[in-house]
Amino acid sequence: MIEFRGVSKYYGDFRALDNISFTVEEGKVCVLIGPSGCGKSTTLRLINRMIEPSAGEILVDGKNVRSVRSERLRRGVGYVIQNVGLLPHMTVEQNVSIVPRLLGWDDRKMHERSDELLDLVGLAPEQYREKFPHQLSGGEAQRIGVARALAANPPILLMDEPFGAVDPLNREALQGEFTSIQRKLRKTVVFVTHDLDEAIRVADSVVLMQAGSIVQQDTPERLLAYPKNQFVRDFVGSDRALKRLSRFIVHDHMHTPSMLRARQRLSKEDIETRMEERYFWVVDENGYLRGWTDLKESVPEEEVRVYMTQIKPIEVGINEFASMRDALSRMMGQGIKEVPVLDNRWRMVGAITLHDVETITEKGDFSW
Amino acid sequence: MTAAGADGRNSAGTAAKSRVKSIIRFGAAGALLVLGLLFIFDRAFLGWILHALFPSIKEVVYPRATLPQLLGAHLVLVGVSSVAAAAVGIPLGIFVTRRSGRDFLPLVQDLSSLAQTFPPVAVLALAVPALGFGFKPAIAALFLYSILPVINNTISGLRSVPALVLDASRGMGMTPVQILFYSELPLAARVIAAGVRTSVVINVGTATVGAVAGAGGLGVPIVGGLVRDNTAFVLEGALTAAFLALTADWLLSRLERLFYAPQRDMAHRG
Repeated sequence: MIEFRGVSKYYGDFRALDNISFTVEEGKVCVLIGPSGCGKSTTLRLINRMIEPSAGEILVDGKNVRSVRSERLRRGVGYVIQNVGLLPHMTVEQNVSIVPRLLGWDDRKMHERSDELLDLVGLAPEQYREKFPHQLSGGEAQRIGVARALAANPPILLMDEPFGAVDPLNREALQGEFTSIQRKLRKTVVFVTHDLDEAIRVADSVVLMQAGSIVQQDTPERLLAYPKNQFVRDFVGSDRALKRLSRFIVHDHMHTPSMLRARQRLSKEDIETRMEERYFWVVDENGYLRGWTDLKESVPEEEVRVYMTQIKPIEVGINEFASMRDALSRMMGQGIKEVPVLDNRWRMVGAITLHDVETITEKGDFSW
Repeated sequence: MTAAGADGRNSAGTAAKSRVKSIIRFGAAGALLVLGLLFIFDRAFLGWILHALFPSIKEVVYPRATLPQLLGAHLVLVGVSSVAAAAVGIPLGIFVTRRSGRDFLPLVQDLSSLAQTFPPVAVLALAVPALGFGFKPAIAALFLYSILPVINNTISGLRSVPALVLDASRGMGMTPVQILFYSELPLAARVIAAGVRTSVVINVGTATVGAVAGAGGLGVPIVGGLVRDNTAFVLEGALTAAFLALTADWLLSRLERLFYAPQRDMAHRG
């Protein structure tokens, strides 16, 4: 648990932070958000003592951070920054192993840990280990940044606009992956961003800041539903209902889809009994999405693939860790009522319908 | 820029073209190397060349010392002064870029530039009364004259390390010394090495002046030739010094390539 108690930071006469107090629960993601210059990055950097406070104290698990030597403190706190900051003269593996090396791990343990982490962030170790940072794309470098921060398995992760420098498409993928990793690891995360959608999506609690003070700390749901004042209302904007959808992960709301296999043969009776559902997704023997079919056009005793309509999964499908908002916009964009859900290896694992989206919006515990 | 300019990104045509270029360049370098070595180590070849160039001069080869002897003395002069310049200049450059030494930065930069504005002959003239005749004043002059590029390159190399890299290094829990050795020096090494190379090349040329103070080296036939109005002697020393400068420059720039060079990277254009 991280606790700020009456923390202030002055630069000369300028009050970067003015007497802020808040707590971050263990295993939760706390997002610091606000317009630039509001003090969110300063707040984050106080935790690993990259900056020292002018007044007040910061406690980690009840212990003042200043009671530990700063270098030792930092080795126990994962740190991810915007633009990654990978050391350009080191390979991916060497970068990931920096903190373990500082902690004196032996070579074999470091090597194994590095492979394990590359797997975790979805990059094949044998392909990426020996690469240098300049050979990586923005998204890949950012994944390595996250792997590096997790290397020594720190209980706390500090992320300063970690996905700020990647393009929107990649950012969504990274947010999805972050969510799935966080579900596994349950780190205590402090996450700085200026992107409200990102905050709504990854946060357990949001700390909204303005000019060095906290305006509102709440769950994303409550921040959207009950903005405390005009500033918050303006900040969250008028599309609050849509933003709220970013909270929900497709994986948690998908249902088992109506699927047929490409090489399956249906008899006349089969087709008749299924006619009520009529539309089916078609997958191949490995579970990869290949297309869809309308049973009205079916040919009895022929393989399903003969009469299926081919589609490109990447255009139609959506990742299981994408948000319901992404699913909705995919429905709108493609003009379909049901979106196939794919896992990280592009296998079809479920589907999301417009009805599923409606269920969420209806379930809100407050009026909009 | 380099002889081996053919890397994977080039298309087949340019790759072939640059291969031809590099063969020509390699051949020229090889020929120059053979000629230079013959010139220095084969006294008969040396005499033949100089005689062909200056048919009117009776004694074309400097008689009091052989070229290998002179070259040896010259190398000692250059080696000692360059090692001293690097041994002092690099730590000094590191010191003035630290938090504790930042106040000294302008002073060190001014002093080292000032040292280079002094003509080496003037430094010799001043140093001889203090240090006596011979080796020592020459070393002092060369040291002062060549420390500037080392200091300047160390400073600019260390300054070129991206702030982001420093922030990440500190954030991961490196101590200031670890940041210096794991992040800053590896990234600045190439620029620092270029400074050392410049300093060595300057010294190879400037060390000929050492002969005036009796320090020996390739300046001896040059000074002797000037005194006796024998252009062949002058050329003997000057050509060898030029050959040495080229060789040193080539060898050291090869060594530099072992260090990290900044890459055009796609990932971190902010």
